[in-house]
Amino acid sequence: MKNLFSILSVSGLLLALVSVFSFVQPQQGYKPGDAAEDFNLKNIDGNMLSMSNKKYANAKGFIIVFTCNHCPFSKKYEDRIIDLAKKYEPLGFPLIAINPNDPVREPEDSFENMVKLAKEKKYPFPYLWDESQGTAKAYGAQKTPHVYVLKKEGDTRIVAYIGAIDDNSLKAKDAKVKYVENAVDEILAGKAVSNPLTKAVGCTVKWKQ
Amino acid sequence: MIFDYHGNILRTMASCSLLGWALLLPRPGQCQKSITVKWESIQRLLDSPDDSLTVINFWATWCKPCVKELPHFEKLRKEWKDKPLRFRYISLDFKDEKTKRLDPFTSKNLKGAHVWLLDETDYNAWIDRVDPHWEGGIPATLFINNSKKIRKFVATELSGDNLRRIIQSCLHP
Repeated sequence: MKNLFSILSVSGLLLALVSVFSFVQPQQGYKPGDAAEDFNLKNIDGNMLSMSNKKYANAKGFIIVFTCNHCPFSKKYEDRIIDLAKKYEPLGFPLIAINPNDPVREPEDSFENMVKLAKEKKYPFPYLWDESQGTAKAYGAQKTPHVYVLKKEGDTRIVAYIGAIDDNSLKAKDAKVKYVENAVDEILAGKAVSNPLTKAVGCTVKWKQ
Repeated sequence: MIFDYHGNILRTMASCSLLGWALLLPRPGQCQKSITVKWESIQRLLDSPDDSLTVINFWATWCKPCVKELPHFEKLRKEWKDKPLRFRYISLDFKDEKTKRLDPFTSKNLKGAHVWLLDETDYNAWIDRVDPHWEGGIPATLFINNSKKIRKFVATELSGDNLRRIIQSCLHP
């Protein structure tokens, strides 16, 4: 009887655990320290672009920004993304923006609109369309904007930082901690990234349904 | 239900004209606005010891899936107003768009509801306190009853059926 009781209570506990965890999203994508896969995606100039492109032969790493046209947070950060690209490309960290959203669910994020926005805002960086959403899934991008700083080690690209651009979505001048700049500066100084993971509110990636 | 009382008073004060307040004639349908809160208010909700289910929905007027799921919350809030259940809609709209976007939306679509504008832009400081699994995308909803040790977190858009099922399972664990 005692055994039966313990079996019942253990199975009850398991059931409770299962019901709790069924509400939790599975954790996917990269963590700091993982090797990041390359991508080959269509840029706004119509050409395919990957990180192994010859023009990146001397890059020390990459700033990959999952972002999009429609999201108010992406809009708030747009000028800061442009500034990051201008500051760090000459230092060996080119910035690549990737739009992961399904344009059926969010027409403002269509390829045509990407081309238009990039022209209007004179993007100094490539803006790629992750049509299959495979890159966003592999990286674990869940929202826009969502940044991955990659550090080149030989032929591999190691994830050094994942998260937000800085700690103030509303105003750049009120930001106290600039997470991405700090991470890249630390890599350039040969140091370990002291804050490799941050979180921020953003628009969820619009996955295909 | 101290918090409900407190919240109602706050809402009435914040939302009605001085004349309406002075004459004790709150007209929530016509004068309702969101109230601006700091993180401490959310923390008090998360720590509330009383035996009722609190449904905390993180949303924003610019978030399409959020706006799509809110009517399901409103339907159940009205349908189940006699149950030990309270709803808090935590808006992550930008605070400089409160009067332009959030308050008109609240007044039109969330009459009688508790709508709080969370004035905290350093998200990294509090996202994990809502749930360590949350990456920060919205909509996101927390179902919590500390007295019954219930805490469920959903970081996706909810259908009406799903929401009903989750609340029922929390009310009758």
